[in-house]
Amino acid sequence: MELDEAVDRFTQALLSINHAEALAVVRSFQEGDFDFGVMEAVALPALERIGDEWQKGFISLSQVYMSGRLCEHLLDLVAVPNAAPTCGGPVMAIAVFEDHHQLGKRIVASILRAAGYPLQDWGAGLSREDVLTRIVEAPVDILFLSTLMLHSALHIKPLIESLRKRGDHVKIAVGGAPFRMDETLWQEVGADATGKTGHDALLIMKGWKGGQS
Amino acid sequence: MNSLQRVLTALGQKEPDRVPFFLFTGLRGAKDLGLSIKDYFARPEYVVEGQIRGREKYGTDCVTSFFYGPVDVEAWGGEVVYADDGPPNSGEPFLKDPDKIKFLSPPRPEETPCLKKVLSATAQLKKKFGDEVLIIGVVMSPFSLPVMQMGFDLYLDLLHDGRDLWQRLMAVNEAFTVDWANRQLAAGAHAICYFDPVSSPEMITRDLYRQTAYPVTCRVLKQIKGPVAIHFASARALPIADDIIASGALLAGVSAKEDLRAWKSVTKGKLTLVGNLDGIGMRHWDTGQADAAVKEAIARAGAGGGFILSDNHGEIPWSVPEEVLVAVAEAVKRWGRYPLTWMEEHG
Repeated sequence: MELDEAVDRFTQALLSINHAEALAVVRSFQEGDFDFGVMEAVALPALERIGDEWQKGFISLSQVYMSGRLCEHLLDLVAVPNAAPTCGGPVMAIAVFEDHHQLGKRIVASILRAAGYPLQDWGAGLSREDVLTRIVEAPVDILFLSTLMLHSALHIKPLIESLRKRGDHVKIAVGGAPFRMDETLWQEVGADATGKTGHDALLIMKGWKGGQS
Repeated sequence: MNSLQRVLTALGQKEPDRVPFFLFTGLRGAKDLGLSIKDYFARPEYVVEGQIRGREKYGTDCVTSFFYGPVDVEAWGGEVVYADDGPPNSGEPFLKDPDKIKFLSPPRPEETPCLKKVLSATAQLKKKFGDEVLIIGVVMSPFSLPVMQMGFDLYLDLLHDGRDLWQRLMAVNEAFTVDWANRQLAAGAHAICYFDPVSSPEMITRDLYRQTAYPVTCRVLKQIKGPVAIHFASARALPIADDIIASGALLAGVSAKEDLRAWKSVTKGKLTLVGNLDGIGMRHWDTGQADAAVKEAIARAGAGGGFILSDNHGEIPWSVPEEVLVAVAEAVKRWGRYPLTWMEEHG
């Protein structure tokens, strides 16, 4: 099976939440040699395509989420390489800031895991003080912050100011509804980047990783 | 023509004296009264006073007994998290174990302190305004409520993998929503705003909507004893406009991301549109932009009635400048006077 055909079929399987078909595609690609490399080659472009389709309004958020969840199930079947800091990868964490809506966090985590990049899950409902403390206890290179409410998004500004004031240069990428509604909000709060899809998070991370190497 | 007559005329798909105007500035009541947001929502009298002052400032054609979205989950024992500069938010979901759905029973509004405050505010607004101004009550739809009850991710898991438990949850939530809506109507509300963002095609596919959310909405709306507006809290809904009409709703909230003219072409004569000023964008507007946005919205959907100018989310952010809201209110009076002869003059 050619890669394009595999990605097309895999994308359709994800969108229709057809686990059996998704598994059949990755198992039949590369003559049955189903490993992480197959997932990276087939699943990542499919997830990217799905993120783009959602961004354009062609598919729904539930399809994006269920696609990520299905890929996570498939990843459980293969050995995921370790791109952790000990292997040269950045130390990354993700948190939902001042909120308990975790859907965006799970979508981003699924994509990064599918690309072989583990990240620490700091959970939901974190306050400014919680984040400042966590970064001292477990320093990270990159922190993904998700919010739902506008005022929570605006509270990221004093958080980043506090971090910079004490000389912490952790890269902050922000996402969530307020940042989708107002495309300049991420700059207003002083974040280093924003993303609208889970795949954007991967691109942001790779961009920073490249810059650092 | 008073405000209620103005709104009812628009709902009847006719042109009143001017375009009706809703501005959901609930949080500003706290600012006006010099109270913290938490203290403001502690007493129905404060919320009523905030609504009275808001109407005096902006000349809106409605008042609302809406406190905050999570009141519908607070009634079930859910946590509400207050902020100093934004609407109260739902806390950690209380239904982390889906099996608990089997034992769930709906709260009784007349015995639930947070809902009793809303009912008291509704009755006080009715006493103050009678049938002069539209009084809006608010409920969360049974289909969207689980996002706060159990979290969005777990809810989507349930929707796809646990349809039996989902049906049980809907049965319990429907009983609550119908009771809650009808009690607000009995207390004096003229209409109910039914918040249902998860039904948006941005959130679920049309197929899933038709299998799940749509039957729920149809069942609930049949039992609510008053007119209902379906609001998607700034999410898109044009692809399901026909379903909204068929569900029995009389009004629909339109997202700022959508074209009011496209909506009007589908819903003309059948549904009143409410929208679609961009509340988040308003933070950066000046008075000239406010005037232009109002004029544009009226040009797209005002002709023939069936249109109420409003923001697109149902809650104006705390950080929107006061002068922008005043400019919006003035622009409605400038551009919303029927007949809209300026549209012909401008081509």
